[in-house]
Amino acid sequence: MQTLSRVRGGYHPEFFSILEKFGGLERDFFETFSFRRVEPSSASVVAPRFAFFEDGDELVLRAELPGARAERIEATIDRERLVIRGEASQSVPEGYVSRRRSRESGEFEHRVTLPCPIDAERVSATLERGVLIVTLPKAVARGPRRIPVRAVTAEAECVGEQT
Amino acid sequence: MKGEVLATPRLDVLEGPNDFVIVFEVPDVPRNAVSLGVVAGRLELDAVQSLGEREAKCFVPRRFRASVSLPESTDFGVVDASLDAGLLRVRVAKSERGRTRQIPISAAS
Repeated sequence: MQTLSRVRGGYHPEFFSILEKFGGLERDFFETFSFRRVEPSSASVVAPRFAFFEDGDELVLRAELPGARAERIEATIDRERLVIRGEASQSVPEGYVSRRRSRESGEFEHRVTLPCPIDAERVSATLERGVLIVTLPKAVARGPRRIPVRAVTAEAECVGEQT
Repeated sequence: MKGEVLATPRLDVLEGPNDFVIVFEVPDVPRNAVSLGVVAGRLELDAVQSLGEREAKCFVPRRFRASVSLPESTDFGVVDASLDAGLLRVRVAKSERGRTRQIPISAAS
């Protein structure tokens, strides 16, 4: 009998052996289900408020990034995911001393695995009032295409063989 | 969706030689939805998010409320505020008494 182990984040060891059997699934599993994944490139890392939702023919990512400048935000998209990177930085002006501080300062990276095909050419992003909105139109779904079946009459040959 | 959720905004307080600067994070708040006041020596903020049509279908706006106490040396008569990129910057001047003064030191002969 296998007992529950605390190793590898409290997952049952059986879970990993199953993933390993399928080869490379372990990585995919965690990339798909870890919502925020930050490379330790900077000393401080922040987690802005992100929301991802669907509105009819579009998917929308909304991020609250007060004080952010458009040129400091990087958004990239490929077939599988949307990645937003940026930095929240506050500088204390010359001659000023910080007396109270609750605003966060640091880098952030947010990844979203796309749940359906996206029309990458029409993806747009705006930054207004400290809110980043990325609009991702869904790729136009092409319904099942009908393949015409053409009847080939080979009567002549058949007739020839039979006789 | 109706209603709103109360939230405490993240904020920084900076002290300069002649003033205090308080920076509040108020994303998605339009200018006309910000109310700033001074009550019993405290700076009071009340600001409501104005969500876009699409977001309003999925989220409840947040109402940012904060109360910041400043030293008595603050001259609440001179306050100016600006809103840009989701940040509300409030400058409160120090009264004459609270200002930093350089005291000259004379060399003993």
